[in-house]
Amino acid sequence: MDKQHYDEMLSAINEPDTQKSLEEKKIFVFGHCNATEELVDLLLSRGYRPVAILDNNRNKHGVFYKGIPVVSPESLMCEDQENTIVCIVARAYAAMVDQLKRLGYRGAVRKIVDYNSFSEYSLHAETVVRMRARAERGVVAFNKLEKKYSDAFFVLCPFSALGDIYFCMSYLGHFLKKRAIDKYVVCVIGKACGQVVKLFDNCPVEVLSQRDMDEVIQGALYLQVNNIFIPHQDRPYVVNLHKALYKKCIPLEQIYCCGVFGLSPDVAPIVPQYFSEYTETEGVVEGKTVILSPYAKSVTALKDSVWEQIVDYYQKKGYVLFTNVVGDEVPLSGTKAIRPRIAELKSLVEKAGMFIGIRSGLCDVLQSAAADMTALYPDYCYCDTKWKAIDMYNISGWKNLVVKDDFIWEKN
Amino acid sequence: MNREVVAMPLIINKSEVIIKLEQDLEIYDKIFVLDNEAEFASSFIGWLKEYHCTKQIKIYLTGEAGDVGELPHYMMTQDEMNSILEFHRMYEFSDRICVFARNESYGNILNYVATGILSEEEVFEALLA
Repeated sequence: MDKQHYDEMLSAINEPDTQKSLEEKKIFVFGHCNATEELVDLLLSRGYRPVAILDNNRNKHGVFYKGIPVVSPESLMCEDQENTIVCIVARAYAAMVDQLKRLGYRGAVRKIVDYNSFSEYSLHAETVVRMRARAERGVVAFNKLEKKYSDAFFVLCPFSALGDIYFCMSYLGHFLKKRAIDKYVVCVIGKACGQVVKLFDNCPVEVLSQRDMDEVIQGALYLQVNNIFIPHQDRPYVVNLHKALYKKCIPLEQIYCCGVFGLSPDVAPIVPQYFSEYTETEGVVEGKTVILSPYAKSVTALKDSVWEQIVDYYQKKGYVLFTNVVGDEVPLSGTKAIRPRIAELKSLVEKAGMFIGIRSGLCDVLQSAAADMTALYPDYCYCDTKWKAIDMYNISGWKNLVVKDDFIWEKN
Repeated sequence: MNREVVAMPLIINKSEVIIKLEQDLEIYDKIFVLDNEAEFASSFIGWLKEYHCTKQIKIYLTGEAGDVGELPHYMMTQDEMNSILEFHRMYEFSDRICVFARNESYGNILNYVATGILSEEEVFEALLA
């Protein structure tokens, strides 16, 4: 879950009405996925223990997350409904509410996160009015974009994740060539995503906010224009691309290559070329420095004890340790902060000699770095599938390690 | 291309087909809307006729998409199809509706068939999930 949605989840849990319900009622959460696990973690940290995780997927029934069972939604009907609350962080909020209603559930339901502004599973008049107004704003915004970049093709990247942008750019060139497009603009959310685009291409980049991007995309879809492409695995709509994962494990990179762009699986990804040299290398001992990357906005954080082990291990071996930080992130204890720009990371890591990071989009940026590279994977499943993160995002040529509760760095 | 600001047509009042769709969503687990221009629409219908499906499925289609036989379905006019597609382009109003329509603006599970990642049958089974 990214920071914005996590903050939204925190606010929702902190609301007085919600807190009262959590204190007084039996708690259920609906939809077993990474976001729901994060909700469960938050509830447990506040002293609230959900009774169960409801999920329609029979393959998950009997599975436990931190001692909390995954059960069918029908199980809820055995409860005293006046004294239950169902919390939902999954995007299919309206559909889940609808299902609960059809089951005959009359208890409380609380929407914790508004996950996807393209989806409102409702045809109520007020929803239609609101979504129409949103699409109308999008039409205006898209027209404005077209006036700024006349005759251009627009690549609209709907999610602010470095890894998504990296995979998009790895195959975009092939896709555009196939469509005989040579004038294009890549639109992204946030400057960091723009920097990833620039590793591959010197094309124009337009940076938008999440809300503006969502509306531009909706406006363009509504107009049925033929000069856009939205390269993502589950936006704008829940896009049936995701459903393929119920049949087979398809790594995320292949989802982009084949599912998103329709390219043959043997098409070679484009390798980024436009890196730059990191010059503030005072303190970096060549070949004897470790760059640590513990922070990622869309990945569950690893426990502090994992990083403490790693820091301790390399300190004893005489390594110098840095933590890659941005904004107000704090370096790990025993390390110093280092703040390279995205384009400079590769040269820094290659000089240092070693990189250990939580598996995030930053690792994709460093895929081609010539150094000792390790990616740490929190032990979770990708969305609501049975595939682990390591199955979906494994990096060839790196050490890929899953961090379970009994993780000991020395043994790896 | 410089495009004039396009005023969106007023879609405040739901058309009859949307109301019908809303009612069918109360009954059916999944509704497939098959635009006759969509690839695979007729293959999908043929497969669905033979497949033992445990879910309640209904198909909305215009006449050209294929022979649905005994499958629960609603035969639409092209205007009704256009009404549904217009709503769909405004937002995703249900995750239990799957629209098969020509669209080159984003990825599609059917790309996996063209690229050999999945078979047509595997894709159709995935769509029923």
